[in-house]
Amino acid sequence: MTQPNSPPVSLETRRSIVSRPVGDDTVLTLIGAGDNTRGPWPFVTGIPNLKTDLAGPPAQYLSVAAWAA
Amino acid sequence: MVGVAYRGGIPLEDIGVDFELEPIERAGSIGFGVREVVTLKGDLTEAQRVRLQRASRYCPVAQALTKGSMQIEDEVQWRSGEVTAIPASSGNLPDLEGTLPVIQPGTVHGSYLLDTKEYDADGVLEHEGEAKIYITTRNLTHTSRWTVMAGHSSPGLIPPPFPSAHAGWAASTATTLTSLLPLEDEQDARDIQVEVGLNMSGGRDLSQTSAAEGRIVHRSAVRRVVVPGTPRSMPVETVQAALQRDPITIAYLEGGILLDEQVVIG
Repeated sequence: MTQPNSPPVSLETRRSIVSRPVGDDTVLTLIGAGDNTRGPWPFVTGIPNLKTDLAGPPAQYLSVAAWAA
Repeated sequence: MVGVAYRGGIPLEDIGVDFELEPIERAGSIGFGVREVVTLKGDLTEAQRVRLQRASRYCPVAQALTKGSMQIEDEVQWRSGEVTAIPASSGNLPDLEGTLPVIQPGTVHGSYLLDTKEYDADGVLEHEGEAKIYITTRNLTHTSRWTVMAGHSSPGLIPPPFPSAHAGWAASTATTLTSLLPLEDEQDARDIQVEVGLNMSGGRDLSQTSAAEGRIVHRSAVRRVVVPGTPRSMPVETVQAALQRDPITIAYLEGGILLDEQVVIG
């Protein structure tokens, strides 16, 4: 059974998560950017590569960790 | 699952979950699959176990990753300032020369923290509580482990699961764009930014009701990607081709990453 589509995302919620590469092998992500009531919470994820160890888990692991929660 | 158990009067005493991640081949991309084992503790009937298993399958994050239930509205903004919507249809998109990083096998273990439940003055469960998650995967020179917290607590304490999943999506998108877009130099990579806006309508009630009933809810999200250059130097079709190869985007649109699932009474 399928629920009708949820309403469109409003402009106010548009930037609730922001993610940017930092260097060649790391991505910094902020949940609740600009929202003091729901965050901000930073996450560091790594981009697997052949030069350096990872500063954080690959991004896919973060989504699965959220599933585990 | 804790909320569904509470609402249904199910005597769930504790819960743990283990995922194994492994790379799998997907057309045009490098995908991944997961094997899930949920361990329940409590004096549960078979009907209660089945109800909780359904809740596990239909929680918002599981739906997003396994049911193809996300509706994504994409936009691209160039550093030169122009903004345009990215069409949903594929059309003839260019082949990209870059390669995505291989997703290494690993594990995700989640432990529920019983004493983080929050009750109101009348003793009614107000927040289901938190989970501590260990992520373990192969690194370049050794195996690493990271700890993540997520769950439902008083606003502001820890990130809820659904935004956390989208944080993974945003990070995955940034990784994909960095890997696949034709970038000139390091400054181009630094110019990349991914912004995600969520629709949290319905909240906990809708999430728990749909999970308990095994009902799919199509949730929407806006993703804006900021890329270097101009529409001429970085055509929208190139950006679209990269986004379509992002592993989490593929999971959101097509589902199917769940390779195996078990729910056991521990």
